[in-house]
Amino acid sequence: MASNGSSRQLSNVQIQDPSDEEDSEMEVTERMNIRTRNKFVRGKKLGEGTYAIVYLGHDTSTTPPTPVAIKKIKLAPTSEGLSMDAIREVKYLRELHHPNIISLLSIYAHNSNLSLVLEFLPGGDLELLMKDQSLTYSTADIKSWMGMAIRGLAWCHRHFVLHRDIKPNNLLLAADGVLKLGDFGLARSFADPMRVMTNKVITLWYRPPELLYGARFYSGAVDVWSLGTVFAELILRTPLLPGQSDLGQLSLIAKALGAPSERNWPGVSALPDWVPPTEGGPEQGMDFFVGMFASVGVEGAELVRGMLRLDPKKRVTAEEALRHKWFQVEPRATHPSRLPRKEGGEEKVGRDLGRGWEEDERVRGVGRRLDFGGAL
Amino acid sequence: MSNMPPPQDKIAPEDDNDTCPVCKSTRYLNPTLSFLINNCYHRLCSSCVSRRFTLGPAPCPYPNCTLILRKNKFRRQTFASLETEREVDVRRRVARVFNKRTENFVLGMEGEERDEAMRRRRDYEERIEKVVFALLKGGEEAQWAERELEEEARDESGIRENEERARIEGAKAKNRGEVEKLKSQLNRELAEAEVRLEGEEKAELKKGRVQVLVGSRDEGEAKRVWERERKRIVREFERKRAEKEWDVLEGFQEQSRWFVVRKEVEVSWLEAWRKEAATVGGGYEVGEYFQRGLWEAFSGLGVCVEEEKGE
Repeated sequence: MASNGSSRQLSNVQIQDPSDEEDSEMEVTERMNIRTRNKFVRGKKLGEGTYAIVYLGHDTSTTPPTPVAIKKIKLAPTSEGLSMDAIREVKYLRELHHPNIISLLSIYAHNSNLSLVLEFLPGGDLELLMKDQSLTYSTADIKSWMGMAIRGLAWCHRHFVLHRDIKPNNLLLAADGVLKLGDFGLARSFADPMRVMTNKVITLWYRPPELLYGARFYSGAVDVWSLGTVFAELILRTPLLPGQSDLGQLSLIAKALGAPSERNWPGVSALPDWVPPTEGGPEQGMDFFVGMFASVGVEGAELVRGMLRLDPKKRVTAEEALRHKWFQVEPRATHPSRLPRKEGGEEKVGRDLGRGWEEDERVRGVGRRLDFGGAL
Repeated sequence: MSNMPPPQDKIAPEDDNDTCPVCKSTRYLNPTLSFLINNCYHRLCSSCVSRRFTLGPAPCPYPNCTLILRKNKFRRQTFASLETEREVDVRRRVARVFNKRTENFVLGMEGEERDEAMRRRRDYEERIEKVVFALLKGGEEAQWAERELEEEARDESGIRENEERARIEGAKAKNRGEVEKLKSQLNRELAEAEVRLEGEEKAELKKGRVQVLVGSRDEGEAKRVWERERKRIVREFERKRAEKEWDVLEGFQEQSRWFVVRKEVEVSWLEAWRKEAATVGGGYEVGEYFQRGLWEAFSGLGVCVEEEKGE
């Protein structure tokens, strides 16, 4: 198979006419693969995760060569083939092209390994940014990041793709300050009616109540909730709902935002894993949000509230959020090139793309490895 | 003077700053929780205050506190420690009466006579301290202190004269402070402008700052120059900012120009399912399915491969 032309080290490959290693008897697809592979030079390793290793690479077809991130997918040890994450990532990133979504530049196979060539985003991610105590940012900066994140998400939803893993370390930052949604390993397209979807998605702290209650028919509102918690976290600089378990997460939501009930959320008690809340009062109104998120003003607090409504049907959609008046009032969103940034995000890129997440306590309890029933 | 704080054996506990001792509401649930105090120095949260005292004077809710409190006398505490708060209040009250200044004692005196006057001045201060401590301690000693206060208050004209003098001095200091503040504000904004603006403008602003600062010896002049300069800088900022902002809706178009999905579309085979509670509660939107169907049907329309090839 591909062994004909691929015995040599990839990193030694120079720009050359690929024809001399192409066998005229090869299949067209094989020839294309080799041509693509030869376009990229793989450099140092940036990070490693459970299902992929991420390298810094260069696209040699341009002058000067442009840096890229090469994500080499590890094959599952049980040799069940490619992991679901990789398939999802390729499937949806091939479709989505938007300035606020990480771009998949190319794909090639090598020794029965699959490599994804992704846009190189050296700016780190929002988690890194929030954790850096020496870094300060303003409401205008938050508005800018949120604006870009919502734009990216609205684009996904407009093309009927659910991201299902929005959290600060999946909101990546490019060198020019632009924010991009990354990690489409849990994405799927909107389900057809009556088709079940798994509810074991989204990192616990950012998981909406309907998924915690086991909803199998849901919509883009799940991503909007995640982005709403990220929004709150950007303002407070501490996670809004740091739950330890599914039930703990529900009780945190009830305590902080109000207890779900048939009155404020019709249909909630019919969800498969419904348990009547024992804590929390009625759903919090504007007073609470204005008090808690005073720094973004009344309009900002209203947007936070809209994104964190308990009932997914009452939550704003990504597009409504984008047209929210908070984005039109002063202070206006900072231009991406002027946003505060953090140096040395390179390693983190590797970790983000390669999912160094098993060491990360934030994602303990997320079920991406446990349940793929009804997924994809 | 009836608003004298009553002596207290024990002042409210200070350890818990996050829970109202009366209604037990906590800062976790109500981040805007704020406490007010009155003449008895018992802490109450602002919602307890408005609930209990809006309809007129009422007794303090703390057990063993017999004071009748009025809503308009509630205030925020300045110091973290209520002991300190109370002492400062007492001192303020005493200082209103005992307001003699050094010049009241020593004016026009020389030599030994002056030394003697200075001794009297120190005795006067000693007396103030005694009165303050007696008032803080309460009981009989406080009664003595009240008498002392009354006695001292007889010299009404002397007190008023010193008050007037202090007022004039305060106003002068305030004026000086304001000019200083103005200058430092100007400096700060210009420094900020320098960081933000580049090249020529930066140099120009630097020059402007030097000019304003040189010309600012006269207060009126400083204010005028400052106002003009400030307006210019603000205008500049706004222009620059407009360039550096972006609109989140930039390039984001309305849905499709090919079709519109009505809010209410009924498809018979879906109606029963979409109304099931488990479907409703999860937030699934059947409308998005219709949207998608149409979008997929229409996608590709309006794309002209030949044209794109030409580009």
